[in-house]
Amino acid sequence: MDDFTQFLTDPLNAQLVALLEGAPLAQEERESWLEMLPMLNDSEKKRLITNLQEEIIDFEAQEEAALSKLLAAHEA
Amino acid sequence: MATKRSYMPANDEPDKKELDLDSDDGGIESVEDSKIDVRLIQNALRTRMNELAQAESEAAGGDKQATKKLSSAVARFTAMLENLQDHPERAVRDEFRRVIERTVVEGHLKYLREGENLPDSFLEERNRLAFRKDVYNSLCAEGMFGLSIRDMLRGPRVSAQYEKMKKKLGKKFSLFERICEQYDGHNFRATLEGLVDDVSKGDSAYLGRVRERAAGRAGIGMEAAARVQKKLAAGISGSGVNGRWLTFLREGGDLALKVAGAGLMIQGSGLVALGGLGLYAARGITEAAGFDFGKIVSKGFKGVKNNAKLSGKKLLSRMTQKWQDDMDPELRSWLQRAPEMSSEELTRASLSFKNRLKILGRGMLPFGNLIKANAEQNVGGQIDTQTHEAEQRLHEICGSALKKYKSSDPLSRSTGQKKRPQTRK
Repeated sequence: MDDFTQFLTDPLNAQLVALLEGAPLAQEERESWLEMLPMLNDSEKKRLITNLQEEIIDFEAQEEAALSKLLAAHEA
Repeated sequence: MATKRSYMPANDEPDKKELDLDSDDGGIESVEDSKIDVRLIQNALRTRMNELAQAESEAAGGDKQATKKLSSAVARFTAMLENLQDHPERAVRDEFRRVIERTVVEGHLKYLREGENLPDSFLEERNRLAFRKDVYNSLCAEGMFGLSIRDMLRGPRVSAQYEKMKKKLGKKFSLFERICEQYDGHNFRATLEGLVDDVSKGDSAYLGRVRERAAGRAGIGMEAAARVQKKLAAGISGSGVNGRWLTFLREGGDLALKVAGAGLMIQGSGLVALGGLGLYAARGITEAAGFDFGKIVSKGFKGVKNNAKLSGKKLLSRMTQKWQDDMDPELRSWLQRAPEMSSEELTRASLSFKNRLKILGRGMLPFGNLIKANAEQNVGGQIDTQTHEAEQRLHEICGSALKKYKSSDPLSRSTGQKKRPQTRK
């Protein structure tokens, strides 16, 4: 198992990579966090996970509301 | 409906992937990419991990290329975080810009090319469903609607797949259908452009939350960056290898010495002569941190002869003032009063564990009162039992201390105990 594979077997790392992929972040920020991942400690990783989860939930709600509203306006 | 490009990044030169809605092939290059290219993750992480490994190895001598790279990567990260705090809404615009690129232009170019409005053939059921599959897959690629790349549908059996989409989308299915029904070329683009406007400007409460979370992330990142920078700076400014392992002495303090104690017992016979003082500490600490002790010895302690005598004062004198100032006060005061000791005394092959304990008992090395007390009690009998107990106890201490030490420090932990490929010749 190489270093990278081993890195991803850590559940926190794997979860963070998945969340960084899904979260509405500017690409620059997304890539920056990826670069920094090996240097974060567990407490920082956990805080980042919580933050990104909130970001995704909020964005999804926002996205759905905005789509509904705009489509309704368009149909009218 | 809004038509201006309000989704452009506010604080940057125009993105080279700017969506040109008037062009036939705008933004096509990126259609295959997800938000994160797997290769990008692998490369970014591998680069960073290699630099970390190299920086550790550079601490044992040689130039400091990787350390510098790592340091500038952290600086770039910090700059990004500052920017992030200033313009958090940029992320929201970026996100919707991606949606437009992928969902409308890239995903559906094949329909648009037929003309500005839908071709007649689009009205056929088969094409109608194929279009829905494209929209659905675009949403998956974008991670919209709670979908992910893993939910994407492939293959020709579209009507069966349509049922899958329905099931997967659940209560969002009707919204999905409405989006698809809106599709008529221009209008759908305009709808989504308006969406960008609406979301990135309209809801101040949402943007407020976005800002808060961005500030939260910046805080986490700044903390990590400061920690890493401090470590790197210590590695760079320390006086060579002495400085490096003294980083661990300083940071690990008492704990490091306990770890060193484990080194004494387990690897006592293999110890390399460096001068008595700090020998075990150096070995235990460096090996706990995944360093190659032999390499550090050969590179870092050149000129220290096997039978040289070292004292704490001498060791202190070899450190920079900053090192001395930063050092744990207890450790510093111990170094100042520790007596001179020859390397030979501690490392000659005939020296038994019992005798080493006696030396420790004389206060030569601060492995804790435990050993000292045991050694003192051992005078005149029962030494084997006592020694054995002391050894057991120390193993316990060292085991948990080592575990704690490693789990509390990712920079050390990432270099771990495992062998790392040599990055320098």
